[in-house]
Amino acid sequence: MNPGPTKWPKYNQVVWEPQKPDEPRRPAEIFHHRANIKYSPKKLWYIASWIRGMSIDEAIKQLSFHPQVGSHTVKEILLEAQDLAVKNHGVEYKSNLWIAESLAGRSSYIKGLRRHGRARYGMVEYKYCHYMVKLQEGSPPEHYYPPPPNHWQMMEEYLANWRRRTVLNGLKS
Amino acid sequence: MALPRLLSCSQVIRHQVHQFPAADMVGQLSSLSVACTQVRHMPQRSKFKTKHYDPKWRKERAAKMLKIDLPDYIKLKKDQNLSLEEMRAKMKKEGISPPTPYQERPILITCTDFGIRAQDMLHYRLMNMQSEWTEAHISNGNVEISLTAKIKSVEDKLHELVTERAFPDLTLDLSEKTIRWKWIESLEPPTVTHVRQTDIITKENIYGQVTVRMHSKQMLAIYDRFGRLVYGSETMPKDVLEYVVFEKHLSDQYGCWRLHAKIVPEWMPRRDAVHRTFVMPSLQEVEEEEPKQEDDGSVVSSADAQSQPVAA
Repeated sequence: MNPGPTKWPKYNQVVWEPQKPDEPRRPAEIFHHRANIKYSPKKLWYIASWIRGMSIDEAIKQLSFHPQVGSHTVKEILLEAQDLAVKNHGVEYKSNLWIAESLAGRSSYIKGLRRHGRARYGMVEYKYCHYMVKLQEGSPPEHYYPPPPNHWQMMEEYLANWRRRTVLNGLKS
Repeated sequence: MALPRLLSCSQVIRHQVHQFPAADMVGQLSSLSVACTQVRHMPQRSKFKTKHYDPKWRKERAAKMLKIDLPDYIKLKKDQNLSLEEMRAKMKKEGISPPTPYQERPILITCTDFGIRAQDMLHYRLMNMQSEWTEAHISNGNVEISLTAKIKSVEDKLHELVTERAFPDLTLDLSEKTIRWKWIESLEPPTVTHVRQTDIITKENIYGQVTVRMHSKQMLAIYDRFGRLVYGSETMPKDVLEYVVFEKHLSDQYGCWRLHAKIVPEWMPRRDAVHRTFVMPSLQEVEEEEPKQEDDGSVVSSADAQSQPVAA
């Protein structure tokens, strides 16, 4: 049996140095996972990417109505993680969490056979995967991934690149 | 991949429909629902329709797949918590002999569980055995317990200063937290309020306990795993009145006075609240048992029978 992710749960044992009173409050981070789920990792990746950057409530709501079968499992895992966050990791409000990281990784596959015509056989893979999630305290950011630049930003970048040029043997500006 | 986030009627019904894996039932159920579209408008990459174009040879096609007993690892992990009968049956099935029923292992009892015994040892016998014991020793011991680092790094030192009974009270919930504790000064000289002795198994195996009343100024600040203050304050010291129990294994040549427990009298004001709020758990009311009648006619309620006598 595949042991699953070994480093991921260890992040929950990190103890930070006490903060000074003037420092901004450090948000709590909760690392949760489930290993050896009977699902294809490639398919789980779509679900994992879908909920990245959402608040926990929004993610649970979306997964409840997501068409893929694996979304049910991911929803269970998120609810587990939310429960652990409040019980063990000092999170006060269970809704004040967002999906900071959401990953799908492959586990060991089991190989089977399938018969073809004329007594020829093909290999079949029964896939298992791991799902890892990191919940962070606070409200989610506006953009999880940087959005494509708008026209004004593109223009500014264009001008900046042209102005950055060095004229060889030219006058010092 | 940017999927639309709005919920539509079709999406709601799709969730209910997904409970049934068989593809033909999907159409039947969707036809039962009102004005529902089963069209899946998904981006090009994801493929949801995996049906073969000719459904006629479905059974034969399925028979080509060689059946394998696929393990459900998540269920296996959950089922690891088996009851005794289930575990016995499983081991019998697998042909594993049960483990040895007894385990010979020497146990060293270096402290008592609670400082609660009816017998009181005579004060002078205690003083005879411990002629060098003075009150100054207590305050020294307390100063040594001031910890500015995490508990785990001073575990060994802590065992010398604190008995096994008190050790989990100090460390169990605080293993992933940081504590800053400081003894600032003593407001009143510590006084001994109670002295007793107890014994375990044999009458010669004696443990001495002393309850000391200490009025002092202390600073306590507890930080959680992320370095956030959860209790107390580093800038505001508090006047603390404590009744601390020290214990020593008198029969042991190398026994020493160690912090054993703290007694909180009923009249003591409540401690400060923790810097966070909790959701009230929904508890079920426990039915009170009817009071039992003893032989001599006196009535003993179940509550009295269960509680242990607490010494002052």
